[in-house]
Amino acid sequence: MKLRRATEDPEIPTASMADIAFLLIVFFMITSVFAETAGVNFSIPQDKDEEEEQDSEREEAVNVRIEPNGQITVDGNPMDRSRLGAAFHEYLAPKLQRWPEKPILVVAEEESPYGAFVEAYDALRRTERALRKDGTVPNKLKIQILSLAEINRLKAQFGEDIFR
Amino acid sequence: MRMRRRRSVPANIPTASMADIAFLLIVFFIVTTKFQVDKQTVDLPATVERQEILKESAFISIKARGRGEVRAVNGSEVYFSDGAGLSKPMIDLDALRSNIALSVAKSPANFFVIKADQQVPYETFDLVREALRDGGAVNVTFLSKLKVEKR
Repeated sequence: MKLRRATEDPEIPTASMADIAFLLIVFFMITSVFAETAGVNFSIPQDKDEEEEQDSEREEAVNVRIEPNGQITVDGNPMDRSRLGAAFHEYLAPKLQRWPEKPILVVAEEESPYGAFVEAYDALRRTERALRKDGTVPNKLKIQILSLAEINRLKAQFGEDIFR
Repeated sequence: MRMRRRRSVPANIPTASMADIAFLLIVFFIVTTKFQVDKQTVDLPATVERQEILKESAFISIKARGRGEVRAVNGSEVYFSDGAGLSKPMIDLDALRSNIALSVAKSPANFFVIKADQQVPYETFDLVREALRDGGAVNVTFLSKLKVEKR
């Protein structure tokens, strides 16, 4: 008598493939961090002597102050942080139209928050770009970010209210 | 007439394409994941204008408050990475200075990224900025998140 063996189709077991794949997904989801990879560019001035020469102009400068509570003021006028670019533009455009070389000093206190300083710097850069685009100023603005040592030196020399 | 019994088909959920979907997701995560030299989580300031940072920029992270033990620079935690290795905590300002000088010596056109908490006091930032200036660094980027402003 001839016996007939039952034939089975050859196959690769793939049932656990999805389990392995989902484990890998869970691993990637847990370890992935969506990081910010952009920011505002800033050049550190290297020449300290040049800054000292400009002392005589400081009385005529626009003072951008970062207060310890995060408030940003320009020549004593508080600026709205939710529309900082527009507020800077409105204030600076008429002044710079008369004198495009007018220095802009960014002054902060020891306890002023870094976040407010970066926002003010970003708004100044945007204002600069807008003013150059509409032809109000021909060149880059003279934005100077004073170090605390310089601020204290100037305060000692000209009085506490020099930047008010 | 006798009806033939209908052949019953066992119920099953089709899972053959499950692995394909899962592998597509894996490929997505592999493609979008970037290797970061700095893994500190900070509350970044928000700016409207932002430029992409260059690859292999050196990172200086400043955390205003945290659970870290090294609060060496004006009460803040400061970490440094030269862009190749992972960021390390700095024990004091001199350690930061020497790391910056080393980084600048390796490539004079070095780009530095400051990744700092919004709440970091300006004094801390000022110390780091002076350390960068003394070390000969020129190009600095303040890392930020996107801000949308009213016109």
